[in-house]
Amino acid sequence: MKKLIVVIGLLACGLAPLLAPVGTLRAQETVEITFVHIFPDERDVRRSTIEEIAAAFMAENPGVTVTIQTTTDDYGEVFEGALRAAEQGNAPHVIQVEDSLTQIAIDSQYFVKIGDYASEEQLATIPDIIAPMRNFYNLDAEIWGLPWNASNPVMFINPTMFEAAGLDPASPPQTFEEITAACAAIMGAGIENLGACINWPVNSWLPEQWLSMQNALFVNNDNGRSDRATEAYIDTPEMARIFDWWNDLDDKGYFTYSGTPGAYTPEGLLFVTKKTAIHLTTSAAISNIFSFAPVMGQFTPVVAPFPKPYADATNGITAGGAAVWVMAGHPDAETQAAVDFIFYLINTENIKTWHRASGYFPIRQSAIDELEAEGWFEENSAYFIPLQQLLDSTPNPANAGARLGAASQVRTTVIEAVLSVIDNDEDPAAALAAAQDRANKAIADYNSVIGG
Amino acid sequence: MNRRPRYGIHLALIVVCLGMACPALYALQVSTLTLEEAFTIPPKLFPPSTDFANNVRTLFDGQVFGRLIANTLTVALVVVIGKTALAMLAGLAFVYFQFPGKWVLFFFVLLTLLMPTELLLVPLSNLIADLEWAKDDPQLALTMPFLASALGVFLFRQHFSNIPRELLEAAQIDGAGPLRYLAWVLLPMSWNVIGAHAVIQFISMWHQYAWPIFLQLNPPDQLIQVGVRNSVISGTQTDFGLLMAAGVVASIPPLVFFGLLQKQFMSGFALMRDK
Amino acid sequence: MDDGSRLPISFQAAQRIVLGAAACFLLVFFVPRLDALAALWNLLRDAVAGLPGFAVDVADYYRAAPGDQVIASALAGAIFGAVTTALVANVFDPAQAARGRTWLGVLAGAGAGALGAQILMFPSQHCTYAPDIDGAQFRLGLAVTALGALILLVPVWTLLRRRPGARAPQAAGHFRRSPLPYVFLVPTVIILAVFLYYPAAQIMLVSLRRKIFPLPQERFACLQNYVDLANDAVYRNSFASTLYITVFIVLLSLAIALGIAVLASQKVKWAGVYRTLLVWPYAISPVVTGVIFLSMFREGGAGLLNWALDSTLGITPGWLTDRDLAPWVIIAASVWNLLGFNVLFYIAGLQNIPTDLLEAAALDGAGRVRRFWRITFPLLSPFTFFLLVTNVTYSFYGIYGVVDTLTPQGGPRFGPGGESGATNVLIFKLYKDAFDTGAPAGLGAAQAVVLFLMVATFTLLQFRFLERRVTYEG
Repeated sequence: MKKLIVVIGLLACGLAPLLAPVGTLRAQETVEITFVHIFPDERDVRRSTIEEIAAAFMAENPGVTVTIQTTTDDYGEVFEGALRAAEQGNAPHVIQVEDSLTQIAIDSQYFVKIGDYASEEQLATIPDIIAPMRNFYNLDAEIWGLPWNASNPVMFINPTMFEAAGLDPASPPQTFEEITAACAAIMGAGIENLGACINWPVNSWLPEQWLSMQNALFVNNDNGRSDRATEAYIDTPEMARIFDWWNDLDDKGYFTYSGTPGAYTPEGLLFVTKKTAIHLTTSAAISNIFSFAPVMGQFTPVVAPFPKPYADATNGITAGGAAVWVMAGHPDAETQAAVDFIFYLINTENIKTWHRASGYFPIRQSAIDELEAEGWFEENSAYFIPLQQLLDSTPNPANAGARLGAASQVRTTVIEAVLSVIDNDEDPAAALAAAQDRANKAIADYNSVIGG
Repeated sequence: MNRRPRYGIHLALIVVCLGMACPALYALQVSTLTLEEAFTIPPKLFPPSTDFANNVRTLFDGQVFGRLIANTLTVALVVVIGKTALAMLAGLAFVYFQFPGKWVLFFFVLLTLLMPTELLLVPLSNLIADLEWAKDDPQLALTMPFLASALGVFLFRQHFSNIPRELLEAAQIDGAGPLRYLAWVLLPMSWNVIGAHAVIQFISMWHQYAWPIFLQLNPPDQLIQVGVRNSVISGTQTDFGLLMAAGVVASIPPLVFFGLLQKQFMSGFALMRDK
Repeated sequence: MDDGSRLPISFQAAQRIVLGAAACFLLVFFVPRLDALAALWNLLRDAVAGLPGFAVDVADYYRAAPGDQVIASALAGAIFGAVTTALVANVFDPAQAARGRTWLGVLAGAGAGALGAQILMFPSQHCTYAPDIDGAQFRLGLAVTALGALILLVPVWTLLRRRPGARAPQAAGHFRRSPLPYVFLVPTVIILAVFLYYPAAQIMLVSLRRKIFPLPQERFACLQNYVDLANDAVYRNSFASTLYITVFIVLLSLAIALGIAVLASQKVKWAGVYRTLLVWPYAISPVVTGVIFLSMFREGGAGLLNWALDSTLGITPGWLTDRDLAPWVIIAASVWNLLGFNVLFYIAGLQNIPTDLLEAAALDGAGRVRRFWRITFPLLSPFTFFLLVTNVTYSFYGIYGVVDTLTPQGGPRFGPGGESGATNVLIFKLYKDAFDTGAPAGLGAAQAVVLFLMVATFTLLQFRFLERRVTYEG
């Protein structure tokens, strides 16, 4: 019987949360907007920067409350989660949408055009955004989302290891061939605890950069910009060049990765803990790597431009990262507040703060100019190198980046092909052919559903 | 029979129990380690370190474990009570009444054994969206789909069938209607089965994972298993100490519930066999 | 039974307290939520109000549908119904094959078959009988026709097998007739209909369409999704992985649990304590199990297992990154998770083995092993049967928590494009295909239907064949 009493006690405990009001009390006076971002780590300086900017926005706009939600660092999960929540009527207001998800975000009809809600004053700040970004997001035609955390690929090297191998850290390898040669030297130098020579996150973004440098398209119809793409260009000589080189590095034991695809932070950790000598990653990691390397690895890394497949592949790189979009289904007051928040987020002052805290490059010309005038780039040339690489590219369809509804699927096929080559010793040609096939199917399927 | 074989059996049983408990003991140990300590080689297996309180505090502050546990407790209890009540009523109807369409309805319930909720997540979430429950009242969305199940109906139908009919005749002579019969005759005889059923359903609800994720509820409205899973994702390096602490904390309530109703659970199933 | 004499209150009073608390709890939960529940009521009301409109739609459809397609489907259903009814009649009631009854039965079967086929043909718009349909879909369409026919045929067979007057009306032991049983059953029926039957129907409808999350558009695709599944290497690999993992989980967990249960059923002091200590892992959830095993099996020397292996054998296998090892981590975690539950039931089963049977066999000179296999194991078959079904259900559905925690990407890749994952079990692939951006939702629905059919068939087969072998106590 005593047990029954305890069970009753349990029931009573269950009553306690019921006494809390049912559902969330909606604040009557203030407008509440939610912002979902992908920097969940509490030690991440980007996360604290965002919270400071939001606090400043709330101070300037006392009628608005900004609630920040972040549980994952995966763009895909944020996107899917936001859409499912939207299906339930629970959509967040502002979310980060990865560059490749642009087309499907538009097609989903779950987002509003920022351009429809922006004031004249806000629209006047658009031309200030640098050309490659306006190009990528087609901002001159219509404004869906606005770029905020934009990054480029970049190369890090460990100068101590380079010197130990008899290489000059001031002239890092800049082509595939040079990297292979450098790795031969580094691996032969008998450096303690060195796992491999080079690592980078296994994703589709970096191969797409190498395609852009070779002036090769990723999908047809001008990378999906002149018309909807109908096929992918995966089984091509340019991609084969990338895969063959990658395979070669892996066979020789020069390449390694953390074991999880697309895991930027674990890859960075491999580099800062001196398991590799060369690291390719996003410029968004610059601040974190510079702060962790001296602590965890006792060295100061050197930043170099992203390597080219070969010396003449000078078509330049595409930008990566994400934009901030506003979701539909909210009352006008909230949507307006969300738009205001976004323009605040990307105003010159905050973009400068954001850049300094993260390494995502400043998307505004005015910000670049001010940073230069303040001497920031002189003191921190590492931050300018990737930006320079971007600004040096002459815009064309290849380096404008791909616009593709089925981007998620197609990128997955590329990643799977890479993994089969480096993990399972598959023949690159076979892997590329299989990937091409599946990618085309995915694109055709997408078009058949939307296109009719 | 001499006493020696008994010691052998004791020893074997102790070894087996320890073996079964191994993963849990390991989890307990790791939950006391800090982030760095969890990566030392060789691993720190004994004695336990000091970070348990810290880890638990992080769980309850940063990951709102307190709310998650409260949510899950409420949801589990509602489903346990509701499901038991509905199953008993259904069992009563099937066993003690003759009515047209009885077998059709029985077949109707039987067929749902083959329709697990796990396969129906997408249309279920669409249904919830139409009802607007995830937005207005997430706990309804988490409880209503589980308030009825074929398993419960069969359990009580079986159990009621095994009760001698003379009791009913006696009750009818006393002028008792079906509900009074249920409350004053059947119920006192059914506590073991109710206890067993309650344990199974409580644990099943406590373990809910895919459904709350699919609904994409706001973090404070989520259930505990989702909270445990989120402890894996956040952070650059998985904080195994925190993760194990999450697992330990998340497992305490069902273990407590199981412990309380253990006797009913163990003996309730003896009555489940076909006679 | 409960001992009421240990406390100052009586058993009756305690019962009332529990009942009262439970009722109170439910009221406190549901009463503030009546508004939201009203939405459910509105849904039901609209559904009922929509029934006449639905009937009109069906009529319109049949009026407008191409006649030859409808006739073809009805014919196929009728033939199937007639043939199977004849077979069933001969197999089950050869004595009853008096001319008149058989022909009546076959006719009924044909009618049921033709009508039943329409149940599945109507939502699919008879598309598999369209003149331009491809061979694979047509053949699949025949199977679907047969399935639809079965839906009506089974009740017809049950009706035919009932001998008139065989069931004595049991007046004793029942309440007198009243509408009460319907009242008691209404909540259960409504909940099952709204939250199980309706979504199940939805899933079948979606499986006939090409739909991509999150796009609002969709396209009717007949049985194309199913044909694609059959041709999809990733799906076949997923199927194979699931079977592999399931077989080992079930075999290992049942065998080990039986052994432990036998051990724990010996008459020793503190048997109850031992039993509790063996059963509690059942309360640990799949997610927490996955989390614990993630920590135990991680790479490098810090994981428990690899440290042990490294110190003794000098090897540190990459458990979760190796294509052959990763499924075994899943199997190990699942077996551990299931052991408690299985041990519990086997103990209950062993407790009910009558000792006099065993003693008699011992007197006859049968050794321990023979006694076990000849007496104990067969008498345990109801429990083995029940656990088989439960374990298989776990391996198909519940295992998602384990897989999502241990190998969130679906496991180490294999296949020519690296598209298959070693632990990409069917339920995991299903959720990915339903949830991922750009994933075909129609394909996910088709997978759900196939999975449902698989488990349903398996369960039904078990009921049929195993239950025949199950021995009940006298």
